[in-house]
Amino acid sequence: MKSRHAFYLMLPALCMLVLIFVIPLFFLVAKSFQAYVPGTLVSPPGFTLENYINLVSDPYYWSVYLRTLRISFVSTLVILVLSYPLSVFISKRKARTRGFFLTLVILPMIGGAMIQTMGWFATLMRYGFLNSVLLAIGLISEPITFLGTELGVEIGLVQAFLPMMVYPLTSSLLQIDRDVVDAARTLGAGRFTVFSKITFPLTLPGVAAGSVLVFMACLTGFVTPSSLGQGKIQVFGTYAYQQAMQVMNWPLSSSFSIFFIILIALASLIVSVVCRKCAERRGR
Amino acid sequence: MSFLEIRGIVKDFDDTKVLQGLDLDVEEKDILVLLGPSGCGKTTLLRIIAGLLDPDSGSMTLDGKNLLEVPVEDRGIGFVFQKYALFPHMNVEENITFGLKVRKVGKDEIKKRLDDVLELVELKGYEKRKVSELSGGQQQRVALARALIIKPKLMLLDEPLSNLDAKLRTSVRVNIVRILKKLGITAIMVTHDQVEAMTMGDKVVLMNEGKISQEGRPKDIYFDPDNLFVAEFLGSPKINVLKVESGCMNGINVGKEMLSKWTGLDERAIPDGTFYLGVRPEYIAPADDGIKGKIEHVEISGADTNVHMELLGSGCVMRVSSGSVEYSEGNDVAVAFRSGSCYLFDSSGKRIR
Repeated sequence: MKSRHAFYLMLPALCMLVLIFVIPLFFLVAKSFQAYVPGTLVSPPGFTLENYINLVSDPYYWSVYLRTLRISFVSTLVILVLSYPLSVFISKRKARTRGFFLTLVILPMIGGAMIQTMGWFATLMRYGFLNSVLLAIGLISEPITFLGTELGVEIGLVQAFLPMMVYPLTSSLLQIDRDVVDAARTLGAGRFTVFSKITFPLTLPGVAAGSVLVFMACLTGFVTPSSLGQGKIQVFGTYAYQQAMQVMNWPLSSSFSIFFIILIALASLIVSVVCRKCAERRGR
Repeated sequence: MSFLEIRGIVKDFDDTKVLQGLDLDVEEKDILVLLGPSGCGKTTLLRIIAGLLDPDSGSMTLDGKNLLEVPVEDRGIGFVFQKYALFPHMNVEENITFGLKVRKVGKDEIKKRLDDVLELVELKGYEKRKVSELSGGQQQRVALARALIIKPKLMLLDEPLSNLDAKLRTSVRVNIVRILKKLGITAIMVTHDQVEAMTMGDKVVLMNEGKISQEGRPKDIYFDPDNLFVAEFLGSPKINVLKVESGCMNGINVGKEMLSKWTGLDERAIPDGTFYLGVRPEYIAPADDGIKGKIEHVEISGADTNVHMELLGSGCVMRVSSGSVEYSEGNDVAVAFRSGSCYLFDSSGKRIR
């Protein structure tokens, strides 16, 4: 009886999910196996692997994959390096101050991606804020081109997705028993050894979780690369958008999406397996 | 000069005065037990000695050397934490040898010392186990081994038995003392359990509100308490304390003559004004011509029976051997204090000797 009630309560959400997720996903899969006829969204009947063959054989696509992976990897690494000290700082605050800082970290995300990107736009322009400052203090003699470069996109991604790393990192730092750190100190470990042998290994699940979140967000990011890349930096998100909305090649952009969904699913599977192994070793 | 000398240690946390100018001496190879209610500052003192906390003022020397100048990692003081604080991502062997590896001790030496210490704590064969697979008692032994392997000049144990079940506690208690004595290690142990303190300590220091209430051999502080706090803290059931105000108890006029007769003290030894009379439950016994009381409640704790009664307007507990006489609630009873077993305390709680 109880479980029947639960089922009815779940029904609205379930319908919603089927309607806006499962059915479109089905169409997406179906579309990816259809042929493209320029000038129309209607595909001729029949099944074709052409889109997928193109995806793996065309060197242009490979350049898009590699660029997407490179930008995502660099951004994730930079985010990790920047977030760790920040998370250590936050985790050492008292509960109330900690809440304040965590809210500060997440605040830009609440503002929406577009506003942040516009902000970066003004900051990174040829004679924007950053270049002006660097020129004024004499660090550079010529303005640096940020917009339309991978560097510009990476700067934008780092800022946009930093909170996704700070949260899991802070939470895994908070889970470390203070006594465990103190025990290492009494046993003769200096601060650096404590970090490398105790703190860092114990936060690995947080590092993994944060990295996966950030990496996937970077892989599929669209707003930041399209505006800060100014169309010159073609990554998965911008390319899929271009093919779907400008070229109207829905079959190709569908197969492109499916390819990335599978890629991301595989990546998260690998990471979750690694995490479970880690956790088992830790005896959780 | 003592092995460990602590002088005038003061420590405040924000507005709370935790330690208020504390002096303590520990002799080499002694096991000293810091006993006291929670919040009395005993764990804070332990952490200060280890170097995990800095005192606001005061001095400490270990074996003649100033301790406060030495950072935690160089003090060479072993610390066993209350919840063991084992490294969750390492196995038993990695946990135990951690202190040697960070000191860059050679492989052969590590192997030899690991074998010795595993034998000592009886954990041979458990080297590769995950610490989470171990029972509480085994985890506790890993924590002990991990601290012992660095050959500490001083061992600090923070409530080492509080996370073990009651059955295990007795055997672990004996084991810890055996190991410490065998290795001749000076140790300071913190506990709030009086039985642990009495059975494990060569010397017991009873702390209250950041100060030392009394220190001495276990039997001295039990049989010769300096003040009411010490008398009340030690002993189970608690010592009976009867308040006497100008020869009256709860409005019942008793007079010096009666008090003298009951306590076996000379009439001249009994003070005027307000004072407290303390008598331990085991020194009260039934006596036909004794003080009349009424039995309120009887509890059998095994070999002993605690008889709660109303005596001279106050609640009193008498401890007798079980089975000797049948006591039942509501009955009248007459009791006497064993001669010379009563302590007198003045109105501030200080012992009148």
